[in-house]
Amino acid sequence: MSHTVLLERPREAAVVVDLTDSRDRELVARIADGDEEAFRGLFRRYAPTAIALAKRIVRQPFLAEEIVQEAFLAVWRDPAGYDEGRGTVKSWLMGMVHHRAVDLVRREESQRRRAEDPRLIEPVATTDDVAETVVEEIGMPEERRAVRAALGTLPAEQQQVIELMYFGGRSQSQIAESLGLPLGTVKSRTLLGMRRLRVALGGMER
Amino acid sequence: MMADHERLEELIVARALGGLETGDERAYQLEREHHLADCAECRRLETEYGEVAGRLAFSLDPEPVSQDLEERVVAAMPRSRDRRRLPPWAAAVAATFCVLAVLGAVFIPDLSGGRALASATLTPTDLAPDAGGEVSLRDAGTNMEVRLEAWGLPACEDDRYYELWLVEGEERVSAGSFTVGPSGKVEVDMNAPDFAGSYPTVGITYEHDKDPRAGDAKMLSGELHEL
Repeated sequence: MSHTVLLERPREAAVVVDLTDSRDRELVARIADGDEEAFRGLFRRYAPTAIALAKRIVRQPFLAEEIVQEAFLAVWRDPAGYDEGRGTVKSWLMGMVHHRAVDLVRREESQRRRAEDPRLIEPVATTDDVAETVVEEIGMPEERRAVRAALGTLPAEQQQVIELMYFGGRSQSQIAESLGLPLGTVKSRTLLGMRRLRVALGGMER
Repeated sequence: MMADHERLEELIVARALGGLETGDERAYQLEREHHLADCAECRRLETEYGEVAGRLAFSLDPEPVSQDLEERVVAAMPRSRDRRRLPPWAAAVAATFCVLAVLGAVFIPDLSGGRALASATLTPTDLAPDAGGEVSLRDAGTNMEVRLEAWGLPACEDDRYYELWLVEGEERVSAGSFTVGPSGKVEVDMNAPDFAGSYPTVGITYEHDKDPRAGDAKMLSGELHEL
């Protein structure tokens, strides 16, 4: 669960401070010391979203698990790769998952060949046994509400190009082609949409 | 350089979302090298848009994660980082074990882990002429363990890392990423899906953080030979 608190700043509006990130940074520091429990803590907190993201992009549970595994192993190998000055732990983590997932879908030929492998068509991540399902920190409902609300402020056409790019793993020119739009229009819609999101989400500082 | 901040902001945004074209990626890297280094405003935008992009993931409904995945990830975690905390005398002991391990790999049947599948000796490209390494693949159930030992690699710059690929023609599968410090040496265990065990080639590229495309900067490569 995300914990937030309102702090007053002189001559500024109240700023929402996300205490989750300070806990995350502490976990990353402990991971740097080889603390496996800290690693498990970070995994349990973010793997549910990481799996959802990877699955949304690559559309294959088996590959999504591979991507998440690889991203978290990268955290274990190199926790110093997280730079506090460049954003929150959760965004850093999701950036690694996203990068790997998009990389995979861009290799279209490779994807086609994998799709011919029957092992990869069968769903792998079964959750029949509820007792074996990790549920800790699965929600982060406040963050989800905040991001969804921010996306909801966008005009539909801006939201569309951003979602196709981020969740579809598609390049700007692929989006232009699929929507029948000039490339410049796709670029400007993306820029305007992201500017709005930056403002809308900017209130939640670390 | 372009010095058009709106155009650069456009590149930053598209890159954060993973939507840059190859040509634009090159343009972005040039700008990053020549402009962003001196422009605090653009660096701030890069950070902020990266943060926004990362948070978009949280608009999705989270999915249950099997306990099995957590255990697989933990089982695959390399333990070699622990060596950094060894006292100096232990380095000599470790070095002795390394020599014994190499001798063992040559003269003694392998008794550790799953069945040894293939190995490759890595040869350098012009980008890392002093580098070298060995890769071995080992059966690990539905996955395959990929063990790398390399040396002479340039230390990673900020936001960059190495990635090991198993390659067959145009297809390549990542076995994982790693970083290298000033020593230029690395010893790491990674994983790859078992279907990549038949791929004939292995390569190591130098990658940019958050760049969705596989890098072109090949540093080491080798042919895998079945054991």
